[in-house]
Amino acid sequence: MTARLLSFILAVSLTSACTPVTEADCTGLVLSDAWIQEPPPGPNVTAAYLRIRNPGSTPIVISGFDAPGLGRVELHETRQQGSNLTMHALESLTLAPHTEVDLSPGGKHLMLFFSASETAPRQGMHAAMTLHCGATSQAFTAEVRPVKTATPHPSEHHGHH
Amino acid sequence: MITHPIRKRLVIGTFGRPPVHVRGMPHQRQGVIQRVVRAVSIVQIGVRKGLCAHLDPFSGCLGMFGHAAIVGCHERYNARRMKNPVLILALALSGGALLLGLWSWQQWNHNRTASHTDWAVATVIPKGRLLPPVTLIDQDGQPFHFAQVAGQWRMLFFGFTHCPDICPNTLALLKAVKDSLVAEQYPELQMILVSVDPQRDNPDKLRDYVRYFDPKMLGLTGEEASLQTLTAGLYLPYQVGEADMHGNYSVDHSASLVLVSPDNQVRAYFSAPHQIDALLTDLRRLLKS
Repeated sequence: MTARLLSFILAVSLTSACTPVTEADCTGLVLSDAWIQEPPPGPNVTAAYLRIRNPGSTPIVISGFDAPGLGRVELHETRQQGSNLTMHALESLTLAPHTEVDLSPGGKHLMLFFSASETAPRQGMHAAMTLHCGATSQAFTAEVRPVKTATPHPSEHHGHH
Repeated sequence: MITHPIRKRLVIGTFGRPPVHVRGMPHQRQGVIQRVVRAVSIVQIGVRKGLCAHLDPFSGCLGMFGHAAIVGCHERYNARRMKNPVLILALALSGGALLLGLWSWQQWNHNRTASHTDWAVATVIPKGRLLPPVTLIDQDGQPFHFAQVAGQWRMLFFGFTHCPDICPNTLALLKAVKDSLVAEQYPELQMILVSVDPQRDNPDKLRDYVRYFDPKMLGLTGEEASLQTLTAGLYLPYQVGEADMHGNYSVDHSASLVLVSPDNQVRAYFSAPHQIDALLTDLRRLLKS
């Protein structure tokens, strides 16, 4: 009896130890103020912005975005190197527990490549977009707005909210 | 106790207290303070027979020492010198010259540093610097020289139309700046986008693009060599990046704004990130100059 009990405990322990840590579910993220910058005539590219908050106690890795019906979306960051600004594509974005990231002009942002002028987002439209975290995703809506003149926000805020 | 011939004539007293005492200072350092005070006690503030008071020229020290007073000098020493009118005149002239020198230095130093310290965000070039003489192409496909638009203030920004983040936001901010200045009766600021991506930004595209922000905004581009000459002359280099698998590429460029005066002189730079209030504060002054 004792031997069986010990085997059971051992089996349970080994099972627990070998189970991979489940990837945090991104449906727990809080998304707000999502908007797409109305593109000026000409280029087939524009930027989209939003605020993402992770209220949970586990880190969440955002692996990508898409905008069905509009075009391809990439996660980018504008960085200042010396006197120049450079654009960098980001593979993913990790939100530590209880932090938020502000995708805003002059910092991290989404780059939206639309295929033709017919599909270009225009002011007043509400575009359906999706945020992906590996196997899970969260849908959200972004309003198309004219270019802002506000000073860019700092790209990240840490701490409890 | 004091053996130096000059020091011998000085008596540093504090009305019955120890010569100098700084509250809270370790005892072993009090002697150092006494020596410092003696060394700098050079300005006479009151003279009467047998007694003169000395003020520490570093007025902060006087306050710091609180009750400590530095008084006294040798009676005969003072009496002999204060009766000598030539000496008094020489001292007065020396003092006046010293004060004049200090005032002149202060004025010179103020003027020297004005361009760096008195502006909210601008880096001002007081005497200006001539724009590099290059030929560009305007939004109508015509050759363009900056001399053509001389006579008005201009603000240059270097970017490209496929720049989705900084460029549209900066141009929108420029439009807001210009409108604010016009509303305040300042001279109209000619906004100019110089595209550093001539491969994709032809004149037609540039025209449509800049007019989205303001009908009077000017779009320029040019041959690679002309653009390099212009940007190098303004210390705002750019670099075209490699294309990705989709054929898209970016251009690293400066987000600085360049203010050009009506006589074609570069007068100021404004570095990113741009704040509209700070920009306006400096432009109001610069446009009046």
